[in-house]
Amino acid sequence: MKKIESIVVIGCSRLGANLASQLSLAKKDVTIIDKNELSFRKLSDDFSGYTFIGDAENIQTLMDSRVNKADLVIAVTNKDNVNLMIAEICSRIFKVEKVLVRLQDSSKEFLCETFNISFIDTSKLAVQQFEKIIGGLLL
Amino acid sequence: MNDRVVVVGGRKKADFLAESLTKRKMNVIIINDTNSFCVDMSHKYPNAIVACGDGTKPYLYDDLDIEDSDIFIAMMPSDADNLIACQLATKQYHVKKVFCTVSNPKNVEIFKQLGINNVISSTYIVSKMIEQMATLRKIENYIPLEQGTIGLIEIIIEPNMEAVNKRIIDLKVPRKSIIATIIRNQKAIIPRGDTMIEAYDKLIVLAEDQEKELMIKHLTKVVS
Repeated sequence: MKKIESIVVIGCSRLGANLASQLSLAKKDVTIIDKNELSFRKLSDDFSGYTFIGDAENIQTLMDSRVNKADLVIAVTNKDNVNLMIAEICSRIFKVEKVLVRLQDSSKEFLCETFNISFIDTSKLAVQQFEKIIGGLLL
Repeated sequence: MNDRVVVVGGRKKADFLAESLTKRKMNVIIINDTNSFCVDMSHKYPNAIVACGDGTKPYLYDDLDIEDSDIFIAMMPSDADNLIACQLATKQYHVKKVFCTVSNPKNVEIFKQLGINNVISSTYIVSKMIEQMATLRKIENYIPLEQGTIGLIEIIIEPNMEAVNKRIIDLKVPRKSIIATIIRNQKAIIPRGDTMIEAYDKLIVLAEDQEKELMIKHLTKVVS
């Protein structure tokens, strides 16, 4: 697999903003999309990527933000279904090599598997972290 | 065994569908996220199964046992929700036929590429209808003859129509109509099969009443 240089983050949520800020710090070419301009306040002060205002549910926004040229697309809006739709469009139609989505509801993992999309289940991750800190309480 | 139909989301559309489906003795399952609407529906259609909840959640599908249903119709306000619901229905629950409504007409093609066969956009359908009516406006004049069994129609040919730069013989006009005269630069031309149609020609067409719509559509077809 070629080296990941160009990254598009969709949804400037806490997670999206943090990821974008970190990736920008790591000298990656980052674009972050959100439909609400105010969301970009969550980005760190030294974020040097592009911000793009638009509704990513609309394919025109994805085309305008050059998602099709990205090596990696990360869909982290606050809606699981929107994340999945964007991920499917990016991998199937725009042929983006690597697509990552955030899911809050793990019951839709099935679709990720059929469409060959990697996902992060944030609630599961939080439970694992909790388990690590408390240690053995959940076993 | 009667067909089992799942209707997700939609208010008036869901109500209307439920009415016609229950009349046809189909087993209807209604899923909607508005509690009051669900209560209404359960009173109105006592034989239908009504569930209140998020229509994109697999646990709801499990509870309602929609596996192998015949038809699944998604009419929620969000296109993404409809896409995911339809994909779950086909891929995970093996529903035989799935219909997905979308509000953004661009999603029709996209969702087809993502594996949904029947995508319906009311915006798309309505705009196509308006477009057709707008092309029918190209008729300048219509004169019915012989109690309307036959009529004279004036049609202006626009540069973006398929008929431009074609010989009449190549136009293959419907059998019960003819292009009687072409008015070009204020002069009348009696056309022959090899006469070329040009942009901004005014055609005087003679057509049988039942064929006039077809003839107008045929001549004013826009290059796609």
